[in-house]
Amino acid sequence: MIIPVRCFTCGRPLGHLHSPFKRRVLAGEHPAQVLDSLGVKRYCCRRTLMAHVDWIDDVLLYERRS
Amino acid sequence: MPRAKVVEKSPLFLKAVIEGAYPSLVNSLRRVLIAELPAMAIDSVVVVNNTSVMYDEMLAHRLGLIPLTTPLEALPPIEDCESGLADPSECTVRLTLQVTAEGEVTVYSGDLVSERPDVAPVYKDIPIVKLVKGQNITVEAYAKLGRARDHAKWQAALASYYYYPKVEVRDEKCREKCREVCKDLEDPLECTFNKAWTCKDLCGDGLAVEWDRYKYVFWVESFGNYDIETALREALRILKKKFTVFAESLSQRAAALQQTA
Repeated sequence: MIIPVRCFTCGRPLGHLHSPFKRRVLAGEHPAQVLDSLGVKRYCCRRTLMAHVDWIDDVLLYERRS
Repeated sequence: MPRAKVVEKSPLFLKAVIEGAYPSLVNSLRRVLIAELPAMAIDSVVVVNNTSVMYDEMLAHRLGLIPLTTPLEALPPIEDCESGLADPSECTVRLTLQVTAEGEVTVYSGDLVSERPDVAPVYKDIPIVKLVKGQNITVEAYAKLGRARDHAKWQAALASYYYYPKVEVRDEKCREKCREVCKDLEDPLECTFNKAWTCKDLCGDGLAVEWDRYKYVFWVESFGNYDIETALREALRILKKKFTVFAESLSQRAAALQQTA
Protein backbone atom coordinates (compact mmCIF):
# COMPACT_ATOMS: atom_id res chain seq x y z
CA MET A 1 0.00 0.00 0.00
CA ILE A 2 2.65 2.49 1.06
CA ILE A 3 6.41 2.01 1.32
CA PRO A 4 7.39 -0.25 4.26
CA VAL A 5 9.09 1.61 7.12
CA ARG A 6 11.76 -1.07 7.44
CA CYS A 7 13.17 -3.90 5.37
CA PHE A 8 11.02 -6.99 5.93
CA THR A 9 14.01 -9.24 6.38
CA CYS A 10 16.76 -7.37 8.18
CA GLY A 11 14.90 -4.46 9.76
CA ARG A 12 16.94 -1.64 8.28
CA PRO A 13 14.93 1.62 8.07
CA LEU A 14 14.05 2.22 4.42
CA GLY A 15 10.90 4.36 4.32
CA HIS A 16 12.80 7.62 3.92
CA LEU A 17 14.68 6.29 0.88
CA HIS A 18 11.70 5.58 -1.33
CA SER A 19 11.09 9.09 -2.58
CA PRO A 20 14.72 9.82 -3.60
CA PHE A 21 14.91 6.34 -5.14
CA LYS A 22 11.77 6.83 -7.17
CA ARG A 23 12.70 10.34 -8.24
CA ARG A 24 16.18 9.37 -9.39
CA VAL A 25 15.10 6.22 -11.22
CA LEU A 26 12.36 8.12 -13.05
CA ALA A 27 14.99 10.70 -13.98
CA GLY A 28 16.81 7.97 -15.85
CA GLU A 29 19.48 6.72 -13.44
CA HIS A 30 20.17 3.00 -13.22
CA PRO A 31 18.36 1.51 -10.19
CA ALA A 32 21.46 -0.40 -9.09
CA GLN A 33 23.53 2.77 -8.98
CA VAL A 34 20.84 4.64 -7.06
CA LEU A 35 20.62 1.86 -4.47
CA ASP A 36 24.41 1.80 -4.13
CA SER A 37 24.61 5.54 -3.59
CA LEU A 38 21.77 5.41 -1.05
CA GLY A 39 23.81 2.87 0.91
CA VAL A 40 21.35 0.02 0.40
CA LYS A 41 23.84 -2.84 0.25
CA ARG A 42 22.02 -6.05 1.14
CA TYR A 43 19.78 -7.74 -1.41
CA CYS A 44 16.92 -8.04 1.08
CA CYS A 45 16.72 -4.24 1.41
CA ARG A 46 17.21 -3.79 -2.34
CA ARG A 47 14.26 -6.03 -3.22
CA THR A 48 12.08 -4.36 -0.56
CA LEU A 49 12.67 -0.98 -2.19
CA MET A 50 12.61 -2.17 -5.79
CA ALA A 51 9.65 -4.53 -5.63
CA HIS A 52 7.38 -2.12 -3.80
CA VAL A 53 4.23 -0.95 -5.61
CA ASP A 54 2.62 2.18 -4.22
CA TRP A 55 -1.10 1.41 -4.14
CA ILE A 56 -2.26 4.08 -1.72
CA ASP A 57 -3.06 6.63 -4.43
CA ASP A 58 -5.44 4.14 -6.04
CA VAL A 59 -7.25 3.73 -2.73
CA LEU A 60 -7.34 7.48 -2.12
CA LEU A 61 -9.22 7.85 -5.42
CA TYR A 62 -12.35 6.62 -3.65
CA GLU A 63 -11.87 9.02 -0.74
CA ARG A 64 -11.89 12.23 -2.74
CA ARG A 65 -15.06 14.21 -2.38
CA SER A 66 -15.62 17.62 -3.91
CA MET B 1 43.84 -12.20 24.20
CA PRO B 2 41.50 -11.30 21.33
CA ARG B 3 42.51 -8.38 19.17
CA ALA B 4 40.47 -6.30 16.74
CA LYS B 5 41.63 -4.03 13.97
CA VAL B 6 39.15 -1.55 12.54
CA VAL B 7 39.17 -1.48 8.75
CA GLU B 8 36.17 0.73 8.08
CA LYS B 9 34.29 3.07 10.34
CA SER B 10 31.51 5.63 10.06
CA PRO B 11 29.01 6.78 12.70
CA LEU B 12 26.61 3.99 11.69
CA PHE B 13 28.93 1.29 10.37
CA LEU B 14 31.99 -0.56 11.56
CA LYS B 15 34.03 -3.33 10.00
CA ALA B 16 36.87 -4.94 11.88
CA VAL B 17 39.17 -7.93 11.67
CA ILE B 18 38.97 -9.87 14.92
CA GLU B 19 41.78 -12.23 15.82
CA GLY B 20 42.31 -14.73 18.60
CA ALA B 21 38.73 -15.19 19.76
CA TYR B 22 36.62 -18.32 19.82
CA PRO B 23 33.68 -18.45 17.39
CA SER B 24 31.38 -18.76 20.39
CA LEU B 25 32.48 -15.38 21.73
CA VAL B 26 32.19 -13.61 18.37
CA ASN B 27 28.80 -15.17 17.80
CA SER B 28 27.59 -14.13 21.26
CA LEU B 29 28.55 -10.57 20.48
CA ARG B 30 26.69 -10.76 17.17
CA ARG B 31 23.57 -12.12 18.81
CA VAL B 32 23.61 -9.52 21.57
CA LEU B 33 23.99 -6.75 18.99
CA ILE B 34 21.04 -8.01 16.99
CA ALA B 35 18.58 -9.05 19.67
CA GLU B 36 19.47 -7.59 23.06
CA LEU B 37 20.33 -3.94 22.52
CA PRO B 38 17.85 -1.57 24.17
CA ALA B 39 16.09 0.90 21.89
CA MET B 40 13.07 3.19 21.99
CA ALA B 41 10.05 2.28 19.87
CA ILE B 42 6.36 3.12 19.99
CA ASP B 43 4.65 0.27 21.81
CA SER B 44 1.20 1.50 22.70
CA VAL B 45 -1.06 3.70 20.59
CA VAL B 46 -4.28 5.43 21.55
CA VAL B 47 -6.17 6.20 18.37
CA VAL B 48 -8.35 9.21 19.12
CA ASN B 49 -9.44 9.70 15.54
CA ASN B 50 -8.48 8.01 12.31
CA THR B 51 -10.39 8.70 9.13
CA SER B 52 -7.49 7.78 6.86
CA VAL B 53 -7.55 4.85 4.45
CA MET B 54 -5.37 2.86 6.81
CA TYR B 55 -6.75 0.64 9.55
CA ASP B 56 -5.83 1.62 13.11
CA GLU B 57 -3.73 -1.53 13.46
CA MET B 58 -1.75 -0.77 10.34
CA LEU B 59 -1.16 2.79 11.45
CA ALA B 60 -0.02 1.62 14.89
CA HIS B 61 2.27 -0.95 13.30
CA ARG B 62 3.91 1.65 11.07
CA LEU B 63 4.33 4.02 14.00
CA GLY B 64 5.99 1.23 15.97
CA LEU B 65 8.55 0.55 13.26
CA ILE B 66 9.79 4.14 13.13
CA PRO B 67 13.28 4.23 14.67
CA LEU B 68 13.57 6.69 17.56
CA THR B 69 16.76 8.24 18.90
CA THR B 70 17.66 6.55 22.16
CA PRO B 71 19.86 8.50 24.59
CA LEU B 72 21.05 5.52 26.66
CA GLU B 73 22.95 7.71 29.12
CA ALA B 74 19.79 9.67 29.94
CA LEU B 75 17.62 6.58 30.40
CA PRO B 76 17.68 3.92 33.11
CA PRO B 77 19.42 0.64 32.23
CA ILE B 78 17.15 -1.73 30.32
CA GLU B 79 17.35 -4.33 33.11
CA ASP B 80 15.82 -1.85 35.55
CA CYS B 81 13.03 -1.03 33.11
CA GLU B 82 12.23 -4.72 32.70
CA SER B 83 12.40 -5.62 36.38
CA GLY B 84 10.40 -2.60 37.46
CA LEU B 85 13.26 -1.23 39.54
CA ALA B 86 13.14 2.00 37.56
CA ASP B 87 10.05 4.18 37.51
CA PRO B 88 8.09 3.10 34.40
CA SER B 89 7.59 6.74 33.48
CA GLU B 90 11.35 7.06 33.03
CA CYS B 91 11.35 4.26 30.47
CA THR B 92 8.40 5.68 28.52
CA VAL B 93 8.02 8.69 26.27
CA ARG B 94 4.77 10.14 25.01
CA LEU B 95 4.45 11.24 21.40
CA THR B 96 1.50 12.81 19.67
CA LEU B 97 0.49 13.04 16.06
CA GLN B 98 -2.29 15.24 14.86
CA VAL B 99 -2.91 16.05 11.22
CA THR B 100 -6.00 17.38 9.50
CA ALA B 101 -5.60 17.43 5.75
CA GLU B 102 -6.49 20.70 4.02
CA GLY B 103 -5.49 19.19 0.71
CA GLU B 104 -3.51 16.15 -0.35
CA VAL B 105 -0.80 15.59 2.23
CA THR B 106 1.65 12.92 3.23
CA VAL B 107 2.09 12.44 6.97
CA TYR B 108 5.77 11.98 7.80
CA SER B 109 7.52 10.65 10.87
CA GLY B 110 8.71 14.24 11.42
CA ASP B 111 5.10 15.23 12.21
CA LEU B 112 5.31 13.24 15.45
CA VAL B 113 5.63 15.58 18.41
CA SER B 114 7.67 14.14 21.25
CA GLU B 115 7.51 15.28 24.86
CA ARG B 116 11.26 14.71 25.10
CA PRO B 117 13.51 16.34 22.51
CA ASP B 118 16.14 13.62 22.89
CA VAL B 119 13.67 10.88 21.91
CA ALA B 120 12.45 11.67 18.40
CA PRO B 121 12.30 9.96 15.00
CA VAL B 122 15.77 9.36 13.58
CA TYR B 123 14.58 10.11 10.05
CA LYS B 124 12.04 12.90 9.66
CA ASP B 125 10.92 11.88 6.19
CA ILE B 126 9.53 8.37 6.60
CA PRO B 127 6.02 8.43 5.09
CA ILE B 128 3.39 7.11 7.51
CA VAL B 129 0.20 7.61 5.52
CA LYS B 130 -1.25 9.78 2.76
CA LEU B 131 -4.38 11.81 3.35
CA VAL B 132 -6.86 13.62 1.12
CA LYS B 133 -8.80 16.76 1.98
CA GLY B 134 -10.95 16.36 5.09
CA GLN B 135 -9.24 13.29 6.51
CA ASN B 136 -7.81 13.43 9.99
CA ILE B 137 -5.60 11.39 12.26
CA THR B 138 -5.20 12.16 15.94
CA VAL B 139 -3.03 9.73 17.78
CA GLU B 140 -1.34 9.45 21.14
CA ALA B 141 1.59 7.07 21.19
CA TYR B 142 3.78 5.75 23.97
CA ALA B 143 7.33 4.70 23.21
CA LYS B 144 8.99 2.18 25.47
CA LEU B 145 12.52 0.96 25.97
CA GLY B 146 12.66 -2.58 24.66
CA ARG B 147 14.76 -5.25 23.02
CA ALA B 148 14.62 -6.81 19.56
CA ARG B 149 14.09 -10.30 20.99
CA ASP B 150 10.56 -9.14 21.86
CA HIS B 151 9.82 -7.39 18.56
CA ALA B 152 11.88 -6.39 15.52
CA LYS B 153 10.84 -2.74 15.94
CA TRP B 154 13.29 -2.54 18.85
CA GLN B 155 16.16 -3.73 16.70
CA ALA B 156 18.97 -1.19 16.91
CA ALA B 157 21.71 -2.91 14.95
CA LEU B 158 22.64 -5.71 12.63
CA ALA B 159 25.91 -7.63 12.80
CA SER B 160 27.54 -10.48 10.97
CA TYR B 161 30.94 -12.05 10.45
CA TYR B 162 32.77 -14.54 8.29
CA TYR B 163 36.02 -16.47 8.61
CA TYR B 164 39.07 -14.63 7.36
CA PRO B 165 39.89 -16.58 4.21
CA LYS B 166 43.38 -17.80 3.34
CA VAL B 167 43.50 -17.94 -0.42
CA GLU B 168 46.33 -19.46 -2.43
CA VAL B 169 46.20 -19.05 -6.19
CA ARG B 170 47.91 -22.06 -7.77
CA ASP B 171 46.71 -21.48 -11.29
CA GLU B 172 46.88 -17.91 -12.57
CA LYS B 173 44.02 -18.61 -15.00
CA CYS B 174 41.83 -18.81 -11.92
CA ARG B 175 41.85 -15.04 -11.42
CA GLU B 176 40.23 -14.50 -14.79
CA LYS B 177 37.76 -17.36 -14.29
CA CYS B 178 36.23 -15.85 -11.19
CA ARG B 179 36.58 -12.18 -12.10
CA GLU B 180 32.81 -11.90 -12.00
CA VAL B 181 32.68 -13.09 -8.38
CA CYS B 182 35.80 -11.41 -7.02
CA LYS B 183 37.83 -8.54 -8.38
CA ASP B 184 40.79 -9.34 -6.18
CA LEU B 185 41.02 -12.89 -4.84
CA GLU B 186 43.63 -11.97 -2.26
CA ASP B 187 41.65 -9.17 -0.65
CA PRO B 188 39.60 -10.85 2.13
CA LEU B 189 37.54 -7.70 2.65
CA GLU B 190 36.32 -7.53 -0.93
CA CYS B 191 36.49 -11.26 -1.63
CA THR B 192 34.58 -12.69 1.33
CA PHE B 193 35.01 -16.29 2.43
CA ASN B 194 31.89 -17.39 0.60
CA LYS B 195 32.93 -15.64 -2.59
CA ALA B 196 36.36 -17.26 -2.42
CA TRP B 197 34.67 -20.62 -1.93
CA THR B 198 32.48 -19.99 -4.98
CA CYS B 199 35.65 -19.29 -6.95
CA LYS B 200 37.08 -22.58 -5.73
CA ASP B 201 34.04 -24.32 -7.13
CA LEU B 202 34.69 -22.57 -10.44
CA CYS B 203 38.33 -23.55 -10.85
CA GLY B 204 38.83 -26.60 -8.64
CA ASP B 205 42.43 -27.41 -7.81
CA GLY B 206 43.69 -24.16 -9.27
CA LEU B 207 42.70 -22.45 -6.04
CA ALA B 208 43.15 -23.40 -2.41
CA VAL B 209 40.82 -21.79 0.11
CA GLU B 210 41.50 -22.28 3.78
CA TRP B 211 40.41 -20.39 6.84
CA ASP B 212 41.82 -19.47 10.18
CA ARG B 213 39.69 -20.81 13.02
CA TYR B 214 40.27 -17.79 15.20
CA LYS B 215 40.23 -14.92 12.73
CA TYR B 216 37.12 -13.20 11.39
CA VAL B 217 35.90 -10.22 9.46
CA PHE B 218 33.15 -8.73 11.61
CA TRP B 219 30.79 -5.92 10.70
CA VAL B 220 28.11 -4.02 12.62
CA GLU B 221 25.53 -1.64 11.26
CA SER B 222 23.51 0.64 13.49
CA PHE B 223 19.94 1.44 12.48
CA GLY B 224 20.33 5.02 13.71
CA ASN B 225 18.97 4.87 17.26
CA TYR B 226 22.48 5.62 18.46
CA ASP B 227 25.95 5.50 16.95
CA ILE B 228 28.04 2.39 16.50
CA GLU B 229 30.30 3.05 19.48
CA THR B 230 27.37 3.32 21.86
CA ALA B 231 25.90 0.16 20.37
CA LEU B 232 29.11 -1.81 20.90
CA ARG B 233 29.68 -0.45 24.39
CA GLU B 234 26.14 -1.38 25.40
CA ALA B 235 26.40 -4.81 23.75
CA LEU B 236 29.59 -5.59 25.64
CA ARG B 237 28.04 -4.38 28.89
CA ILE B 238 25.06 -6.71 28.39
CA LEU B 239 27.31 -9.60 27.37
CA LYS B 240 29.55 -9.15 30.41
CA LYS B 241 26.51 -9.04 32.64
CA LYS B 242 25.28 -12.32 31.14
CA PHE B 243 28.66 -13.93 31.82
CA THR B 244 28.63 -12.69 35.42
CA VAL B 245 25.13 -14.00 36.04
CA PHE B 246 26.09 -17.34 34.50
CA ALA B 247 29.29 -17.69 36.55
CA GLU B 248 27.48 -16.74 39.73
CA SER B 249 24.67 -19.23 39.30
CA LEU B 250 27.20 -21.89 38.38
CA SER B 251 29.19 -21.40 41.57
CA GLN B 252 25.99 -21.32 43.60
CA ARG B 253 24.98 -24.63 42.08
CA ALA B 254 28.39 -26.09 42.78
CA ALA B 255 28.27 -24.93 46.39
CA ALA B 256 24.82 -26.44 46.84
CA LEU B 257 25.99 -29.75 45.38
CA GLN B 258 29.00 -29.79 47.67
CA GLN B 259 26.79 -29.32 50.71
CA THR B 260 24.54 -32.23 49.84
CA ALA B 261 27.46 -34.55 49.06
